[in-house]
Amino acid sequence: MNKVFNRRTLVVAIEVPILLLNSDRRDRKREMGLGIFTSMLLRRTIIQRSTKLLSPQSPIFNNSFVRPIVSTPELKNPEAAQADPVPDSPPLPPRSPVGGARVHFPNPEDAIEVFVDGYPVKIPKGFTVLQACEVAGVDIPRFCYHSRLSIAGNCRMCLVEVEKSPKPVASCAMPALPGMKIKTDTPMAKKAREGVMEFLLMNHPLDCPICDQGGECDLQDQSMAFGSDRGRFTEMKRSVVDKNLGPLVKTVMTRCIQCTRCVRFATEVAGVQDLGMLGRGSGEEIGTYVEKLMTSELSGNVIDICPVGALTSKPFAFKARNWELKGTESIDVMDAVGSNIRIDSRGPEVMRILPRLNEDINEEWISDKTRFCYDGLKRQRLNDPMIRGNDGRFKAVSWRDALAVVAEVMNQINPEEIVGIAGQLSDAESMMALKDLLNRMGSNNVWCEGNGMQTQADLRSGYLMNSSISGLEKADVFLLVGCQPRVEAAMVNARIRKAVRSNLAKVGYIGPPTDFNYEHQHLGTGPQTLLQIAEGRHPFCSAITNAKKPAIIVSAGLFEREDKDAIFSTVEAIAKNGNVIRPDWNGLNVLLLNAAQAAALDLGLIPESNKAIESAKFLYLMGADDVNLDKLQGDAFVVYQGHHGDNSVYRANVILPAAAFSEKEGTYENTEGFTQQTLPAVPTVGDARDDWKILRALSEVAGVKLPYDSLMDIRSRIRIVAPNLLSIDEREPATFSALIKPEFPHSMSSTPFKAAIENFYMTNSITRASKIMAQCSAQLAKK
Amino acid sequence: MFARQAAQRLLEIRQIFRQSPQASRSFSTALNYHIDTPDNNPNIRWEFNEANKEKAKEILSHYPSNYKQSAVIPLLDLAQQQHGGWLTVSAMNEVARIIEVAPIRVYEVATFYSMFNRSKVGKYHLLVCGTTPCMIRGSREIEEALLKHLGVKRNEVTKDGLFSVGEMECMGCCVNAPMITVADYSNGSEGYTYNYYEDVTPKRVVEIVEMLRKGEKPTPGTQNPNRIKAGPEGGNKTLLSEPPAPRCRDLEAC
Amino acid sequence: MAFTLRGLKVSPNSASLEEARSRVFDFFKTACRSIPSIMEIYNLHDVVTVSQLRSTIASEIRKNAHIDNPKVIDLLLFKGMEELGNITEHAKQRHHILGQYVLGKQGLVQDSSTKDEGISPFLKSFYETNYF
Repeated sequence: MNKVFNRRTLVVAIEVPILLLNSDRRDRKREMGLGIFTSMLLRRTIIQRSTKLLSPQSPIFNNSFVRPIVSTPELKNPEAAQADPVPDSPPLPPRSPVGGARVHFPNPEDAIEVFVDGYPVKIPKGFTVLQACEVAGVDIPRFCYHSRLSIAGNCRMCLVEVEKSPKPVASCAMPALPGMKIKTDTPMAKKAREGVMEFLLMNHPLDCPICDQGGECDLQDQSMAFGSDRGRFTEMKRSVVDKNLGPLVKTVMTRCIQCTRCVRFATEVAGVQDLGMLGRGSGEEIGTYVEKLMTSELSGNVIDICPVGALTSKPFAFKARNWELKGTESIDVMDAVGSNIRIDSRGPEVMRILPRLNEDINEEWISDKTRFCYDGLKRQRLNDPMIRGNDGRFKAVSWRDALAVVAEVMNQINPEEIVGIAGQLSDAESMMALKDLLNRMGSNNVWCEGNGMQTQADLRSGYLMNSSISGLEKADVFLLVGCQPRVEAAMVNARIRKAVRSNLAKVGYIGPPTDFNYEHQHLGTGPQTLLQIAEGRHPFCSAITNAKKPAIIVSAGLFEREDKDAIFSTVEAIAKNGNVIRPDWNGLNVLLLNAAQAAALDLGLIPESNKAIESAKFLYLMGADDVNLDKLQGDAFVVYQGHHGDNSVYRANVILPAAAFSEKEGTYENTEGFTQQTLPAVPTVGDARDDWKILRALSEVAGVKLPYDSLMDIRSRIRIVAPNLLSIDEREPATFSALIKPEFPHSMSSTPFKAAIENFYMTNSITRASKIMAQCSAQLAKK
Repeated sequence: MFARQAAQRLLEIRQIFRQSPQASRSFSTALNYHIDTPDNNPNIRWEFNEANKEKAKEILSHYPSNYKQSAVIPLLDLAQQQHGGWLTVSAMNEVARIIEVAPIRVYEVATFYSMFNRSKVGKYHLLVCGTTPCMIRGSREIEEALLKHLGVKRNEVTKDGLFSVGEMECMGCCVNAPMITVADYSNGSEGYTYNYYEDVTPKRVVEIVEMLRKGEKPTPGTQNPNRIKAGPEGGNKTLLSEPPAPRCRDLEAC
Repeated sequence: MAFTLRGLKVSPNSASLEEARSRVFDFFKTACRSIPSIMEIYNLHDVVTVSQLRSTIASEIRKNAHIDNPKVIDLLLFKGMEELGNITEHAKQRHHILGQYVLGKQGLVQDSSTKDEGISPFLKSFYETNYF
């Protein structure tokens, strides 16, 4: 009998920690209820076991029934529950923090000790009771509290009991004090939560079956875990008018529980003060008061932070349930940030894209372009290999014929006249294959669009974000050179905004007038201002020299300028004067625009001559849609290998359909040199093939067989060229050496800097094919 | 068993009574969101007049320069007085501009307080107290009398634009219940008054309305001629004599 | 099954090769006459034309051109009529027709293997699918 009991506890004790470990922070939305439930289960079972083992007179030795784990008897009989002593002897196993939460002690002396359910926990001073509980491995239910937003303390769901406090305290707003004895599992705490939940459900509609949040709803989960099984409210439920927040966010305001997370997110992170809490009491509602669309590039994140179904995704509305979806952890390629995303797919269709937590890159936000570009993956796709006939129309052919035609043309043309351009969404493997193929054909005119002509690719520090994206948070002065982070890299902009809010960082901006969602000084529009700062004639110089951690961010849009070398050496002069580069801090950054850029420069995809396109007779475009083909000769043969029928297809002679980022495995390096991999979430459409496979097959047909048959083989080839591209999920910082940098004789032209991105919502072939992005740019993009 | 049936029955009866036409009481004069109308939209320019600009400056001087937003309530009040008792969107935007916050932060405050009217009110805005003591002493009848006399509904303005009737919460005059308040916006922010009329009767409120219509100023305070302020009807009944001196301890007993 | 057989009369054996031959022609004509209604039933207008179907039927018949035993021809005719009956009675689905008579037995892959001499296994599987 005793054996039976032990096995049971053992199973629970083993299974539950696994569950807890697996429950990722970002998946908390889905797993929170379960996580809490299991942790409670675990705790109680262990306590039970230990008490029972300690006292041989315990009923377990007398009757064969294991006491069922139910909460109600304790609720009805608080004395009995309190009488159950919590043993302080060794049997308590150490518990892991919720979701692997890291505890960082800024100052070791400031550590204080509190007791959570009897477990001693060491936490830094200034932590709240809720955070202390999290460190102790107890997940407190919450709605309004969000670790990245300010504390509101208005949902009251996180009530816990604190010894010697007459009332339950809201743990999210209560600072933990030394020696505090926090109890999260007492009848008082349970009753408090149950009561709060009853109030929250009072005005919440019972429309879970038609609610898009169903299945990933905090309110649903927590009412299952902490709520009562009945309510006492018999009046009419209130109803609230829905708001129009634009083409991305759907509102069903009747479901709102007034947690104000969205208001705080909009104000603090997104930096658009549009949302507010209007009215009072039972008439309270979230809204914009005047009819106003949410014009933020981060607005989609309110969908994630909304704990109920009040704010849901408009394009995703009524499309799928979250439990039908297959999640694939992948990487975003819409900009050079490389935000970590989860691609949720059902069958062959991408249903939605959600952020994944990555503290170093995107925290837990993603930009709207990343989140809503996915419908572009279903439109304008290239299905079959096609050859343009004499009548100018494309005709679908087999791969065999298409490759034979391309190989034949390629072999007839002089090697110097062969040019290859990789697109902005290309992965490192296919760029490697493209370069190898063209090199074997005898040409070295291969580059990645956006990198311009004669870009130096010798020093990695010259094209990377050296202070790293998370490092920008620590900076206290920013100088943005031709760089509009809000449209170029929304996640980097969020970091700068964070620095502006927390360190009161000053931001100086040189470039065309543009929108910022934080305080900034517009210093000028062109290189003259840059020169003034370099020569110390500008008032902003003192800000840079006096700064503790100054950061200069240069946009990769300047790569396209003729005088970029001069600009870069001027920026370096500023960096030198302002002591921006120190042993512990490298504040000289380049913000790249495209996902492929960093890897392309690492692999050495740079053109040999400035006039490559003009003299080209054979142009191989690997998804390159933003190159200017006006100067291309009329008789040049253009091969377009890509996944969308976009700009370049109009000029192409042969189309080879390729896989999009959601359909292939590929390595991408982001703007700070962080290497990550995409994973295929859905199958390729039609007769498309992976990019590198097409190049490999073409090489064989053309008689210059590339020596790799698998991704592994290509990667071992990459190891020779750029080994840093193989250290996945690691950031390889550039070793800076300003001294060996050659001097450039060019002088700067006086042309003002141009905006690198015209339309935030349409920057590549996927977003240009997307209907949602088209709606956004029509309604939201500011003219 | 019977007890449960009785409880069920009681619940049903309560349900029937609950279906009153006044399903949700609205204290504020407008919705919690704005709908553009010809006389209330963000395109209309609105600013404080010269005198009130000085006043606004004076109000702002009460607060530290980095906490200008603290002046939001006094400024909104000033704007409301100037604008004939209600706040347009542009007035709120102007206040937001002065205190340097996003407009939504001002909207939040203006929607929170029911004394800020966001739809048009009459020059004399009559507010009937509807809290328990006044209600017991007949505030419903008073409101009914007012509405019937003026021929309007609650929160509706009479055709001549002179009067509107609203409901408000307790103003602390329970001893003289029932009471109404008259917010006088007829003379802008200079002649603005906010007077309580207490111990009113359905007949008396109609008289007050008529006096206001004629431009007279009825005396505020209790309308019962037999009372002095909050004193009992017909003069004091207790504490008639001079209050005795404080008791001194028996010195001789020591 | 029963209802398909009900409509089929088992005709007596052909006495000679001539008779069998004329029966085949009769069958071909019947089949050709039913093509329009087949196209209607299976909604084939956008994938195939009448003449294509007709030539498919002819080639199906010609496949057995070398047979000179009247008994065998009778048997094949019976099978053909059964098939035709099935098709006209909508006992089949659209993809059956598409697979058997529109695309042909070899399906979508029209390439013969003779061209693949001397190419690497990578290229061979590349031509077939993206997933290998």
